Amino acid sequence: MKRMALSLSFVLAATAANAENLKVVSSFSILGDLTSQVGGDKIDHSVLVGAGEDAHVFQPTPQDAKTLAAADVVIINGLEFEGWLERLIEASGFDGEIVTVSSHIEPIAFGEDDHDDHGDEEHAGHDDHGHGEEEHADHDDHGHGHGDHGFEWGGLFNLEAGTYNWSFAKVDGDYADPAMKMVILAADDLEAVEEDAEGLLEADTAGSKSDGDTLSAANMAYSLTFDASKEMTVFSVEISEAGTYAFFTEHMPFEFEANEHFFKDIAGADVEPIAQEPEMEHGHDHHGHDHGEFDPHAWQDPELAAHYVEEITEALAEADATNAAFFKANGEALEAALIALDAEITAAFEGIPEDSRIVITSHDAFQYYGEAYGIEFLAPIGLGTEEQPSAKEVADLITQIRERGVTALFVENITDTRLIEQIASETGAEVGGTLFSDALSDANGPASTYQDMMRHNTKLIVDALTSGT
Amino acid sequence: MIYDLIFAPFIEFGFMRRALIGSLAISLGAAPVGVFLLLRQMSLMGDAMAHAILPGAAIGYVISGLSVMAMTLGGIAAGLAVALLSGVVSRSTALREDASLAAFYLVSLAGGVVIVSSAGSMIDLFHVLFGSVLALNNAALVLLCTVTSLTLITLAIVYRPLTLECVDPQFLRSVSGLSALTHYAFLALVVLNLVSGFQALGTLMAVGIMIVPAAAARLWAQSVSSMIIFASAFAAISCISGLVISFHFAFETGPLIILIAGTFYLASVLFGPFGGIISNAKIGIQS
Repeated sequence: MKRMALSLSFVLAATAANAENLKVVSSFSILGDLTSQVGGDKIDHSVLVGAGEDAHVFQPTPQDAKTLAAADVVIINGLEFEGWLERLIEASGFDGEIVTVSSHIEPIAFGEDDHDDHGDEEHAGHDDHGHGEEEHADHDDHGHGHGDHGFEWGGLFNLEAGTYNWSFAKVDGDYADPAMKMVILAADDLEAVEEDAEGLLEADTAGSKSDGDTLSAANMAYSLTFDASKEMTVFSVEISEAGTYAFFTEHMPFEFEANEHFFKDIAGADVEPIAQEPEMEHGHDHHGHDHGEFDPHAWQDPELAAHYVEEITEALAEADATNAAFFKANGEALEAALIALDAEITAAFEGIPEDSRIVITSHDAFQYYGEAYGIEFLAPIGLGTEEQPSAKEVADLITQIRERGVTALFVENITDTRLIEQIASETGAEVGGTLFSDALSDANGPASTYQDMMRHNTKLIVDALTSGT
Repeated sequence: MIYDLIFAPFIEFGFMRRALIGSLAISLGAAPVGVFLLLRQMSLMGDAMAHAILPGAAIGYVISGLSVMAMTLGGIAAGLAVALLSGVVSRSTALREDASLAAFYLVSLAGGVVIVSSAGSMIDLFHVLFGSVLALNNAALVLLCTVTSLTLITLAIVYRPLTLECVDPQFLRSVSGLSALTHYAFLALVVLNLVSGFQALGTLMAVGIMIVPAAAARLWAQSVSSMIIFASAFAAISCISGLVISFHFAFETGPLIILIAGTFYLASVLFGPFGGIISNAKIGIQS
């Protein structure tokens, strides 16, 4: 009650102070902190799921609906992290702009760290991701769209002669981009024609196409414009000869997927690529377009968080032109700080051999962090806080901890700690403290801002990984 | 072979041994309580109680934060209050026990929700309070074993009046002043077993191990004492086999244990010598 009253009075006071300020609502504390750092005192800002609260089980109050209804901009993470928010927004009658900060990143699919098979193969596979500097170099591409390749995604398809449909749908009311370029080439593998594709995409000679037009495998780039009046823009793809064809696009095709697969044959059956670039962890084949197939915790990688900041800055600047310069200056400073933070964290892990970078947590929320810094995170309980493990899963985990000499066990700020303590006492590993994943701590805690949270987590992980040696 | 299948998991892994001890303790203590609940036609009380304890747990949380002990004590207090109040109401008004229990637990649940939400926290108390059979720490084990010992001792003391009360409550009330005392002691045992079971094992398993084996045992015996023996045996076998199967095949452990107990129940419904479908059919043919 007290907290609600406080935040309410804060909102009221801020409104009284400056009635012209943009009203911004962020969905949870981490986004809220990034937004505050960009918006400063030029926005009236409130956060729905506050510090230390679990967004997975959040129950909105009427006050939240009222706050939403009055807002100009709502900032959400997306990737199904705020499952409850869609209904709340509908119910509140909110008609401003919804900014989904994760909409232009490349999400990681769930279940990548399946802890059933952590043999040597897993390790070899892990090295492929490359955790050194190279990895970081091309990490930028994922985050910031058009990298040096000229394309963000390439897919190789095995096609019969005939007509196919490639669709681009609005996600959350908007296309991920109003237009983009695409190249289709007959090719046996992606790498062979990568450079050709790049050249074509960068040349200014693209043929422009709009809804309903036909594309074919030709030595040219298409500039596709999406029909804003429709929920979905569809192009037909004419294939005159059976064979393998490479498609290159400036954005991930999945960013334009609402309810159905982006590529279908004339009968409406999904057509899946036989190879893709960047490689998808689990292929794209067995994903049924269910919601929640991607891990939403992308903010755990500061480079992706920098991209979040870019989205937030853009949205605020667009919504309030008078303060646009202020937002942009803050946003750019924050992005630079996050890139520096990323380098700082990378440096912190130098000297720890990759083999021993294994960490156990009670909640599977660190895939992005692990990917960015070459750390393998194992979690006895899957995502969300509802699932309970089987005896086999716990036993496998314990065996693995013993075999690989894991020293770092962590409990998070929100889940039940008893299971992880049990595993700790069984294996002799130390419980390393509390990692913050989905929520910041309150102002007096160790993780009251995004940067503090990342530094706190990194320090704990580094300490725990080096304690045994 | 058999060694690898059945004994190795328990020898190799401490959490399996703890799970075994904890679930055997609850089998010994809760199953007999379940038999009496069944005889008193109060089998649904367990589910009601899972909700009734919320305000106590919430108050415990408000006072001392996420302390499992404080929340458990609060839960026991709230559970006892609901059980005793509904007992009093049913003994002194025209309402039957199930109706007054339903009313009290719903009011209690509503109170709990209000307390939790006005404390300003969105933390799911149920999730913190309800444990898992695989995550038994020392405190949870001690709690389970203490409650089981207390249950067995109390049942031994009130066994006769309690049995009589189940069979013919009016008679006991007319001949002895101990009727009310017996009743309340029994309700207290129900609450203790449930709350400690929730905390250590989770709702489904705590309620399930109390009720399902008792229902199966009812079809295998006529005397209360043999029913108790059957119920405890069914419960213990379900726990052991559930743990072993869950260890080898990666099923969630608590629900699997209750599923196995459910299999005993279904088999008893068919083949139970006292009131099972087949034995009833035979009696029908004979007469």
